Amino acid sequence: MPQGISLTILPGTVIKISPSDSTKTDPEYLSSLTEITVRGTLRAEGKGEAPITFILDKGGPGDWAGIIVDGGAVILNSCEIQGAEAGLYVREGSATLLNSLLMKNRYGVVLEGRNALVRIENTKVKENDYGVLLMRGATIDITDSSVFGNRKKDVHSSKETDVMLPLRVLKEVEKKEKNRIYADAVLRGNTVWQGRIAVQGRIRVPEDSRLVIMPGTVVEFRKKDTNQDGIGENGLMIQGVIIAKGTGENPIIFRSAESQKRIGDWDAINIMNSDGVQNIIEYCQVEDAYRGLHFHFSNVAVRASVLRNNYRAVQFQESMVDIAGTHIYENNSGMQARDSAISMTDNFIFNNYSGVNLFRDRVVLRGNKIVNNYREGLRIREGVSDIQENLIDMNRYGLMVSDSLYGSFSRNVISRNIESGISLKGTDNMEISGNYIFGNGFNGMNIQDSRAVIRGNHIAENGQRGIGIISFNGTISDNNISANGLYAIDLEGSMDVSAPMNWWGTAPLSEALYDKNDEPERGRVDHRMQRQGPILFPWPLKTIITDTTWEGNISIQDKVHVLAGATLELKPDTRILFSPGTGLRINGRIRALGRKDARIIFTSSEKKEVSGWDEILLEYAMDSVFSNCDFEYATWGIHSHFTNLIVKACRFRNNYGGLRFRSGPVEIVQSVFEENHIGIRAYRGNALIKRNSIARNDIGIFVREKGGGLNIRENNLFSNTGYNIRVGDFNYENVDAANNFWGDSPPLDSIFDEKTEPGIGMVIYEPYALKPFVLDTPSFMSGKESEQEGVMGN
Amino acid sequence: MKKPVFVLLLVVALTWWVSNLCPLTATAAEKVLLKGAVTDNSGKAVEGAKIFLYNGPDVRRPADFISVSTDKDGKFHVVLPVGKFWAVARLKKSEEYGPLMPGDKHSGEPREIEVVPGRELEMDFTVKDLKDAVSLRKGTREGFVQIKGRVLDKNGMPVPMAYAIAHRSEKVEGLPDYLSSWTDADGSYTLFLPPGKYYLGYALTFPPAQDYGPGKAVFIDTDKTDMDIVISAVSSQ
Repeated sequence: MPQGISLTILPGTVIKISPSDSTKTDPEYLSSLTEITVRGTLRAEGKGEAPITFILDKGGPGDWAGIIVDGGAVILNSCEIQGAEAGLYVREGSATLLNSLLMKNRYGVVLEGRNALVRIENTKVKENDYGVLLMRGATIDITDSSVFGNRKKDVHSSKETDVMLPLRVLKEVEKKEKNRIYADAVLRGNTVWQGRIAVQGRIRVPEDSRLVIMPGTVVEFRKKDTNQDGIGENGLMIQGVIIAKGTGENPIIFRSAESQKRIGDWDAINIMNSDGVQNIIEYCQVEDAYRGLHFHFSNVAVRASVLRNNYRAVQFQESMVDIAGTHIYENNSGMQARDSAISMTDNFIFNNYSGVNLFRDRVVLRGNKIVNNYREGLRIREGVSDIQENLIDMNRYGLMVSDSLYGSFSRNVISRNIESGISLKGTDNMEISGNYIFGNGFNGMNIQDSRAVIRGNHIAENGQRGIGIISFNGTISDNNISANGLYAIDLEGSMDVSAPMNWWGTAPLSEALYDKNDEPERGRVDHRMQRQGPILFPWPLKTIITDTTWEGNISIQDKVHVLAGATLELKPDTRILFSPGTGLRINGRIRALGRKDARIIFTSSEKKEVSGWDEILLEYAMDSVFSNCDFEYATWGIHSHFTNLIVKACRFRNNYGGLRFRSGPVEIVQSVFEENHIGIRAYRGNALIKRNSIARNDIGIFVREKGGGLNIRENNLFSNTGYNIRVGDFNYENVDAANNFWGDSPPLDSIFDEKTEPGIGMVIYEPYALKPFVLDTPSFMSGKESEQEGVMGN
Repeated sequence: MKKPVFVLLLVVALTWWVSNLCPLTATAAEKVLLKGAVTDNSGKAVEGAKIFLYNGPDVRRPADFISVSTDKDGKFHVVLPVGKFWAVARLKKSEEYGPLMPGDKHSGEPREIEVVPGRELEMDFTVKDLKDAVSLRKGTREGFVQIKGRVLDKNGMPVPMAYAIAHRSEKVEGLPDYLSSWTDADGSYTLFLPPGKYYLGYALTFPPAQDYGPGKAVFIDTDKTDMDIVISAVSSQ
C-alpha cells in the first residue's frame, strides 16, 4: 500500500498467504518473503463473530514476513495473524491492534525505534518464539492484553544506543546554471558532461559509446511516474561505458531535480552488458534513486563515493565489482548482489534498513564497517567468502551465512548486534577464527547443520549464549567463551561437540555448558583440557569508530586509533600487550577503570625494557579516565593533549616517561611513578598533582613551559636521581609545589629552578612536609602478576 | 498339527522381516567397488585425496565411508554396500578429519551415486582450492586483459590520486582511450584493455592537463601484474 492509498478489509475475510523466498526482491519491499507493506493506510474491520484471518496456505512460522508498517498507519480489529516472521512489524508509523490474536509467528510484534507507535488492546500474543520485541528504544502501549506463553521470551527489549557515525557528504562546490536539458536521448560516440545537467527522460549510451562525466558535474533527474507507483522512471542506461570521475574537491552529484526530493524520484544508473572496460564511479554522490547503481554483466569500480537515500543503493548480478572507500547509508537496502565477483574494501555501510545481502557470489571483504543496519548487517547465501577485519556492529543480525560451501571469517569484530552475532546454517568448510564476538543481544553464534573450525575467537558478554548449537561437526578450540548471559555453549542437538582447550571464564563449567549432563537426549560438549586463563587475543582493527569494550588479554600488533565519537572501555583485569612501536591514539574517549584487585595492565609484548612500546596518545579525548592501571616499558605511558583527564591509583614504572601532558585539566592522584626517566612532564599544563608517590626516577616532575597552571600538593616526591622537580629553560612562571615531602635532604637540593639558572621560574616549595605522607597509592606489581598467562590444565 | 503350523508361521514371519524390515542385513553382503581418479583444475593427478561418502545429502557431518588416499596417479577405490550415496573428494594437508582449511582442496557440491548389486562403478573427481575460488578475476568480456601495477615517483614511492592511462597514440588530445580509477595510498591501479599496442602513462588531474605523461609504448596481450609506471617529475618526499 503506497503512500496515499487505503485498503479496507471487511469482516470475515480470510487472507491466505503464499510463502516465497526470493533472491530478486525489488527494492521497495523490505523482506525477501511475501509481505504486506503499508506506507498508506490499512484498516482491517473484523468483528467478534466475523474475525479477519491472515494465515499461510502452507508452511510454518516465519514463511511470510507479516504486516510491515513503513511510514503508514494500520488499524487491525478482531484479526488473527499466524505463520509470519513478525505478525506485526512497525518500522515507522502507527499501528493499533484491537481484540486480536497473534500466534505461531516467530515474533508476535516487533517495533523498531521511537518512530514506531503501537497500541495493543484486548489482544493475545502467544505461542510465538518471541511475543514482543522492542528495538532501539521503542516502547509499546499495551492495555488489557496478554503477552504470555511465547516459547523463548514474552517481551525482549534492546536498549537505545547513541551512535555517532562518520557519515560523509559530498557537496556541490558551487551552484551552476543548467548546461544542458535532456529528454529521452541516445548518446552515441564520446559524450562529455560537465556543469549542470537536467535529465527529463531516459538516457541511453549504446554499445561502443562512452559517457564521461567531469569533476564537479551535477546531474539532476526530474521525476516521471507514468504508472503512478510512486517510483520515478528517468535514469541512465549505459550499454557502452561510463566514466564518472570526480575528485574530493569537485565531486559529481546525481540527485532528484524535484524541489521536495524523495527517495525513488528517479530510476538508476543502469550499466548493462559492459563487462570489458571497467566503468568508473569515483567521488560521486548518488541520492534519491530507486536503485542508485544497478549493473548486469558489467565490470564496475565504485570508489570514494556516497550512496544515500535510495531504495537500494547498489544492486548487481553476473558482474565484477570493486567497491572501496564508499559510504552507503540511509537507504532501504544497502547492497544486493548475486552471481558476481565482489571486492569490498574500507567501505562504511551504516543506518540502512538492510545492509549487504549476497547470493552465490565470490566475495572478498576487508576493512568494512557495517554498523547500525536495521535488519542484517551482512547476509551471505551460497558462494564462497573471504571476510576479514570488518566491523559488524549494532545491526539487528550481524553476520548470517547459509548454504555456503566455503568461507573464511577471520579477525572481524562482531559486536552489539541486537540478536545474534554470527549465524551459520547449512554451511561447510567454515573457518571462524580470531573474531571478537562481544556483547550481542541474544547469542554470539548460532550454528545449525554446519561444519566449521572455530578457533582463537573471543566470545564474551553476549546476552544469552556464547554459542547456541543445533547441529555441528568440527572443532571449537582455543577460544575465550566467557561471561555470556546463560551458557558458554548450549547444545540443543544430539550430536557430541568437540570443544577442547577453551577458556570458559570464571563460572563453574557445569553452569557454563548445557548439554547431556543437563538433558540426556542432548549431545555432550567435550571440553577437555580447558584453559586456566584467557587466550591472548590479537586485536584485529586499526580504527575504532563505535563504542568498544576490551577485556581479557589483548595484543596490539599495529597502532590502534579510537576516532572522535567513540569510547574505548577497558574492563577490570584486562591486559594490553603492545608490540614494539605500537600504541593507542585516542581522539574519542578512553575509560580504563580497573579495580584494586583487578588492575588493568598496559605493557610490552616483547621487550621488557624502556620503549618496548610507544604510548597512549590522547588528543581532545574529553572525559578520559585511567584508574587502577599499570603502565610499563613504554616510551610514554600516557601522552595527553587538550584533554580533561583523570589518572587515579595508577602505577608507572620502567617507562622513558610516565605521563606527559599539555593543557588539561588533568588530575593525577594517588598514583605511583617509579624508575622512569621522567615521572611527569608538564607543558603549558593545567593540573592537580596530589597524593602521589614520585620516587626513584631520573627526574620526578619536569615542567617544560608555563608551569603556572600546576598545583602540586601532598606528594611524596623524593629520591629522584636527577631532580625531584626540574623547571625547563623556557618556563618563566613559578610552580606551586607547597606541602610536599621531599625526602631527608633539603628540598632545594633536588630542585632545578631560578636559583640554579636565573631567569626561569621558581618552585614554590614552602611550607613542606618533614615526614612522608601516608598515601593510598597502589603497591607495585609482582613479577608473577605481570607475567600472568593463559595456561592449560587438565 | 499345531507345532508345524507354528513353525511355518515363524518361517513366514522371519522371511517377511528379513526381506522387509531388515534390508540392510539382506544387502550388506552385496559389495560393490567404486573406483576412479582425482585431478586438479589443470587435469593433473592429485595424490593423497580421499573420497568421503554419505548416506544422505547432508555432507556436513562425519562420513559413513571413506576411501583410501589416492595414489600418485590420483587413483582411489572404496568398497561400498548397495544403496544411494553422496560423495565428495577432499584433499587435506593435515591428517585430521573435519572441515577444510585454507590450502585444502574440495570437489564442490556432493555427487549422487546409486550403488546397485553386481555393477562396478567408476567416478572421477576434480578438486580445487576453495580459497582460490574467491580470487576475483572473473572473466570479463572475451579478449580483454587486465593489467595491474603502481604509479610511483622517481624515488620509488607510491603516488596517490594519480591514474593510469592507456592510449593508442603517443599524444592524448582530449581524453585517453582507457583510464583507471584514482590510485590509493599504495599507488595501485588496474586497467582492463583489449590486447594491443598502447602508450601506458599516467595523469594527475582529470581531464589530463599538462601534468600527464604519455609513457612508453607497450604491447599487451595477456594479464600482467607488474606494470609499474614511474613519474619522473613528481616526488612524494
